[in-house]
Amino acid sequence: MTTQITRRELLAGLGAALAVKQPARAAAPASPVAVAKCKSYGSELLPTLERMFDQLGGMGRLVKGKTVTIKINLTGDVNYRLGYRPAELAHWTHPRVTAAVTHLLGKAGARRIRIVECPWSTADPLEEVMLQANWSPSMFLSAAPRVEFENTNWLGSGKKYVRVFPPHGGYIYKSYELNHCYEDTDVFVSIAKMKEHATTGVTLSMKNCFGITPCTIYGTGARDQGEPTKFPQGGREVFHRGRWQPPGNPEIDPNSPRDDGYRVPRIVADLVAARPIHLAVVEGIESMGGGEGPWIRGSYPNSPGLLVAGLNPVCTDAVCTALMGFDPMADRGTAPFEKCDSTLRLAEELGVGTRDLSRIEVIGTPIREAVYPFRQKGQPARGRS
Amino acid sequence: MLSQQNARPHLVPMRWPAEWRDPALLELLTGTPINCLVSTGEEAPAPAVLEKAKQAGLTFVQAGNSPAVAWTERADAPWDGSQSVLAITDGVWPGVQRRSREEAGPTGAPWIDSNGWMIQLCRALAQNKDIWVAAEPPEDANNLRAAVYQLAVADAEAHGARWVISLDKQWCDGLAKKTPALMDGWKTITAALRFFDAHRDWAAYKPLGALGVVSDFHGPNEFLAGEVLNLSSRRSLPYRIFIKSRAVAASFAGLKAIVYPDEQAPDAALMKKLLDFVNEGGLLMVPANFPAPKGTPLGSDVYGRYDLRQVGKGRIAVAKEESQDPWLIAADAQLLMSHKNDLVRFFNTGTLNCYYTASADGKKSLLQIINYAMRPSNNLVSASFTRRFRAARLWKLEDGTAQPLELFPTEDGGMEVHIPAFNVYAAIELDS
Repeated sequence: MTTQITRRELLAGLGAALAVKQPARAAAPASPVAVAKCKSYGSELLPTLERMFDQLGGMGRLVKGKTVTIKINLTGDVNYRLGYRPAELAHWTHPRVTAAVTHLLGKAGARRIRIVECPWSTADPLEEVMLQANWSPSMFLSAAPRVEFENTNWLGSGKKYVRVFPPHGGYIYKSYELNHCYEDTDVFVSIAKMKEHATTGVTLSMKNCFGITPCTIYGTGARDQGEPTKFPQGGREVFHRGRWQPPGNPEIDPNSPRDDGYRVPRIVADLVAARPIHLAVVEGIESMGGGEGPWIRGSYPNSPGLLVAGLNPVCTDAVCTALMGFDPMADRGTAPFEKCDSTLRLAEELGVGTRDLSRIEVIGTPIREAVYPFRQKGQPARGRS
Repeated sequence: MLSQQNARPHLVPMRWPAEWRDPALLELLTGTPINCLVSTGEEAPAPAVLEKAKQAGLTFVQAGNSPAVAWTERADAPWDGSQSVLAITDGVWPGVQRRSREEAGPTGAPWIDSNGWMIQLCRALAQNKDIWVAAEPPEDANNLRAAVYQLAVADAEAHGARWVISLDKQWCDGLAKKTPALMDGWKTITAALRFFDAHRDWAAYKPLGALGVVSDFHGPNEFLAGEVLNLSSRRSLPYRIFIKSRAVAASFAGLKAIVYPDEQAPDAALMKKLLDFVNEGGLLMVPANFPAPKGTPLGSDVYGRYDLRQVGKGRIAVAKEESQDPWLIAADAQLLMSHKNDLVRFFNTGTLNCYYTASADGKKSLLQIINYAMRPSNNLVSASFTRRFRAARLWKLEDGTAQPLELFPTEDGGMEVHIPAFNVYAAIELDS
């Protein structure tokens, strides 16, 4: 990062430096996580989120007078649905959650709020993508003063890409190039959906950041181009299989495994170390099981009725993993990480945060009262796309 | 020979196979809407067949030798001729085109061959004539499926035309021998004809669309303007067609954007009409050589393909490149006028196209959906509308009866319907 380093980032970086050679679970910071039951996106949503933010110490100290960037999750083509379910009731973060967070951060004094995402294979303005999903962008614009949108799947309104560096030197790449929004911000918020994931076991606030990387560089359309393409095309196949080198971003070890269960968790850990998350919000009010999107065979709708928020993404995702009925200390070979390494463990080893529930204070609804098993006991993972 | 009478008002044509010389085969038409035999070859149907057909009140049309029916390729069609029917011989056989992955559509979505856009264009050019589509089935073992023929019927009928029923050799032989499976299939095909015959009023509904395409659709403009229609259909972007020579007298009411793709500048009257549309708030998309007023520069579009200018309350988008891609024109039109002006949106629709129309009084709207895969989608399909309706009913070709559809409000103030699985064709009737 070339911007000012916060104390949290400094600590994370120091932790990461220690973590490169050996696991640093004990060194990874712990941070409280707020859990609440919330059965609908109706009138209970805003007060529930407000209470959770208060439980985390209030948002004023984090965002007052600051530029805030909120990364939402709009994975997959806008045309895709899980059955008849609108995307926001299955695999996309719900607009009312984003609007409520935007409102509360605005109320807490955020100077400017930018809502960002890399929508599937397009440079269309983010508002236009939302409209195609039957969302009204005015819902966000009216939620707080000075709300903006940016499609970060390409250069967008920036003049050049910014380069972020995982403090530990990187698992897979030494650096990652991103849209300027991820640097031109004081506070970075990840709003994720609580879901399983065919490649990484679970997708929560950290895996959401896989989607901050522009497909002009990391998309299939960039293959063999030698430089970023003007517009994004395709998905991030290079991250999954590593069959080619993205322009200007050669791998640290091209001989490392080409298994996406090895690569993707490490890339996610790299990204959250390089572009720290200051506020993680995971919504599982309505969601889906069996995978991250309708393209996963055997996936199905579910209704966990949960909201989770924290100031540390590893801690937040660890609590979410537990709420989903899995052990956040599990690793490759054990659910939900049957075919992959644990992003939680990898990020923990970088010193981003602890996944050890014994070190994480859960505020609000205790895990045992809120747990919503995504699988029946012994049920195997669903198939891949 | 039967009298080649005036083809109006409701001829349902079938190409009579030359090898069907037994008049008893006319019994296949009993109880079906088919009332017109067509011969496209040099060999006319057997006299006994013609005699029995005459007794049954059927019309006979010899392709290329009928005062009422012009049998013609689209480019040569006598749009202002005296014929009441134009049988277009260069239609495509509808379906999902089997292409290699490298040749897949621009979005990765499957290529679909449809006559829908061409029929709309022919209807606009010919105004009060009936349009027939004479497309022969390709040689394909898959043609044994009745759904293949249902699709040919639905693709034409949904857009207000008639497919000239043409059976391939397998069907001709099988039906002549009364093969049970093909006899059942024939019932399926003719049930589709009956369905559309029962909903003949739908053909008079007017196309809805926030996008207008103004062109002469002729000569050097034929390909680009036609493909803009074809690919707009593929994007589920409804449009209205304006023939350049008649556009001055037409109403642009309800349009948000107009694409004028022709290389030649419009005449003074049309130019004034187009600029009036812009001045009142519309978007006009024109080629690079269009003599557009300079207006106030608004910079470029997101993709850098247009110079945008504010003129009056509206905008003119002038293409930067002389050569334009029709797929991108359709995509840019949808984006520049904003998805907030989408009249309809679909979800989980890889192989579907739609045609959106309304009755003259505007009280009923109709969304006809054709599934070119001819089997239910792997995923359930939803359709959303950016306006509200009072009630919705679903018609499926295989049912023949309507069922009420529940209306669900959407986050943007519109509504959506959930469409039960269907094979080839469904229609949603919407009450305002």
